Amino acid sequence: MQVGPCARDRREGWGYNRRLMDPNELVAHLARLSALNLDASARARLASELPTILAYVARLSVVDTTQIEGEDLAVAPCRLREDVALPSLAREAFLPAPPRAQDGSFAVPAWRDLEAD
Amino acid sequence: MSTAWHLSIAEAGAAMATGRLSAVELCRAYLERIDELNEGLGAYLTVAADLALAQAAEADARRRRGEGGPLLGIPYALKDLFVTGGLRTTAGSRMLADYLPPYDATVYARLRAAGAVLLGKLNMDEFAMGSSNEYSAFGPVRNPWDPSRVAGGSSGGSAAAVAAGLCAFSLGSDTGGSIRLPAAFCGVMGFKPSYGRVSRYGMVAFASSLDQAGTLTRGAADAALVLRAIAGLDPLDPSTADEAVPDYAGPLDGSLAGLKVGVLPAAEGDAAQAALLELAGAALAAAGATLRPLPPPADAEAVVPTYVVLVTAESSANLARYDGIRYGHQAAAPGQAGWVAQARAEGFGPEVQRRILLGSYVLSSGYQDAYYGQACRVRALIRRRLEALLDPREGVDLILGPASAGPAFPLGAKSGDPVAMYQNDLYTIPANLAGLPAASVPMGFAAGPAGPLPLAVHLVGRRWDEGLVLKAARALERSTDAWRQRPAMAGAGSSAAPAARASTGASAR
Repeated sequence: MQVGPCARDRREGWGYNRRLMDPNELVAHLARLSALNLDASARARLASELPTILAYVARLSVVDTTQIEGEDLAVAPCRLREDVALPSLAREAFLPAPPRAQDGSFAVPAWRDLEAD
Repeated sequence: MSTAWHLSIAEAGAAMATGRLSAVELCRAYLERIDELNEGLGAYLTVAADLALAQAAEADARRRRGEGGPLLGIPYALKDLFVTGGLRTTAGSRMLADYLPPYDATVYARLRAAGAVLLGKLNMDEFAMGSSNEYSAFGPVRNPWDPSRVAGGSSGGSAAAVAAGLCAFSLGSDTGGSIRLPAAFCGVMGFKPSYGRVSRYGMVAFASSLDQAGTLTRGAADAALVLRAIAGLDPLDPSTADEAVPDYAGPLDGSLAGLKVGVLPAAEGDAAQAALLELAGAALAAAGATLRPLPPPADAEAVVPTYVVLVTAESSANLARYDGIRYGHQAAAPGQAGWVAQARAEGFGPEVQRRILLGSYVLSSGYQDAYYGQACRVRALIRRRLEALLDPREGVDLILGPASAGPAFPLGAKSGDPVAMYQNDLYTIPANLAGLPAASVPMGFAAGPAGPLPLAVHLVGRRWDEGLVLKAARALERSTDAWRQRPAMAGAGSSAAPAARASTGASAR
C-alpha cells in the first residue's frame, strides 16, 4: 500500500483537526444526531475521548486509494428472494417483545402533551 | 459429581451411542459445573436448566428411536446475541435486559434440529462492542486461568465457558476478532468461517458487513462437527452463499504435503511471539507443508483505523432501531424526541454510546466520504492484498501469524484508553475486512503471576476453504498439548505443560 498525498482530493472532509470544533460542542451536536440524551458526566467523558480517537482514525487520510474503483467496494454479493408474500409470525408472538403492550398493541408513551395543547 | 464434561464431542457421542451415558446425565453434569463455577466467572447470563433437561430428554428419545448424529445430546451454549424464541436475549445490554424474542436464530434452529442441548446464554461485551468483555451491562467475564484477568471479547462468555468445562462447545460472533481473541486468551480454539458461510439471521447486528457467526471448541475436531451443522445457505439471510458444505471432520488428519504456508513475522522485539510462531511453523512443516516467510503487511497501520470507522458507522445505523417502543428499555420523559433519546441514554452503556457518536460523526455531512468512504476504499485495498497473497497459482494456501499481542491482560488495564482497546484486534481484523476464514489455535503458555496464561497462533485461509484451516489447526494440535490443558479451577488435568511454558519464554505482568 502506498502512503502519500491522494491524487483525488478527498482531504476536504478531514477538517476536524484544522477547524477544531470545540469538543463540547461536537459532542452536543453528535448526541442530537444520535438521539442520545447524555448527562453532563457522559458529555465530559466523550469530549475528552473523541478528539483522540478521531486523530487516530485520521491516519486513513494518507493512504493512497486512487486505484480503487466503485466495483471494488462491494463486500459480498447478496441474493434477492422472490417478490412474493410469505407467512409471518402471528401478532400475539410479538407482544412479549416490547417493553409495554396493551390491548394487543405496542404501548407508546404520550406523543404529545394533550393538556398543554 | 460426574466428570463427563471432560469428554470431547466425539467421545461423548460415542458414550451415548453405546448406552454408557445418556444425554440427560451429560446435561446434568454440565449444569452442576455451572452451579459450581459460574458465579466466579460470569460466563452465563441465563441458565436454561429446564429447557436443557427437556431437550436432553428429547435427544435420548430420538436416540432410542434409532436416530443419531454427531451433536445429538451434546450440551452447548450461545452467545447472548443469538435470539432464542421465548428465552431472554440481552446482547449484554441493559437496553435488552428483558427482551423475549418471538423467533429463533437460524443457528439455534439448526443445532436444535441436530439434537444439541442448549444450556443457556453467554455473557458478552454490550452489542459485541469490545475486546475484553468488560463492557457487558451485567459485569465482566473473568478468565478461568486467572480470574483477575480479562477473558477477551466480545465473545468472552463463550470462550470462558468452554475453557472451564461449562459447555461442550459454544457459538460466538466475530466482527474484528470477537471469537478468536477470547479463544486465544482462554486457551480454546476459536473459528470464524468465511463471511456468508453461516447464517446471521437472528444474530443481533453490530456491523453487518463484517459480522460472522462461528465456533468456540476444545479443538479442531469439535469445530469441524459443529461447523457442518450450522453452515450453509439460508433463505432468511441473503448474504449466505450457495456453497456446498463439505465433511470437515473426515479429512482433518490428512497430510499437509504440497501446502504452502506464508508466515507473518512477530512484532518487533516480541521474542515470545516469535518463539510461538517458530513452534507453529515447525509443526506445519513436520506435517508436510512448505513455509514461506512474509514481510510485515504494508497496510498494518491502517487496519485498526479502517475497522473503527466501518464498525462505528454501521453500528450507529444498526442501533438506531432501539427506540424503546418495539423492544428495549423505555423511558418516561415527555415528548417523542425526549423519551427516545432518554431511553437510549439509559439503555446503552458507555462504549456503545461512544461508538454511536463516532458513527454519527463519520457518516455526517461533509465527513462521510473522507472517513466512511475512505475506510471502504482502504478495506478494498486490504482485501486485494490478501487475495493476491492467497492466489491459488502464485500465492500461499494459508497464512500463519500472531493471534494477539500477548496473553490476557488484567481487568481494568485498558478500560481508560479506547484506542489501546481497539488495537487488541490488530491481528484478527484483516480476515474480517476480507471475509476470509480464520482460526486462533492454542499453542503454548506464558508464565503469569497466578499461573500459566494461554497463548495462540492465527491461521487465515482462502474464502470457502474452511476445511484447510481446520486441517492445519489439527496439525498444530498434534504438535502440542496446549489445547488439551484445563485451567486449575476446572479440576483434573489442569496444570499447563511445563514444556509448553518453557518453549515460549513468555511472561505476563
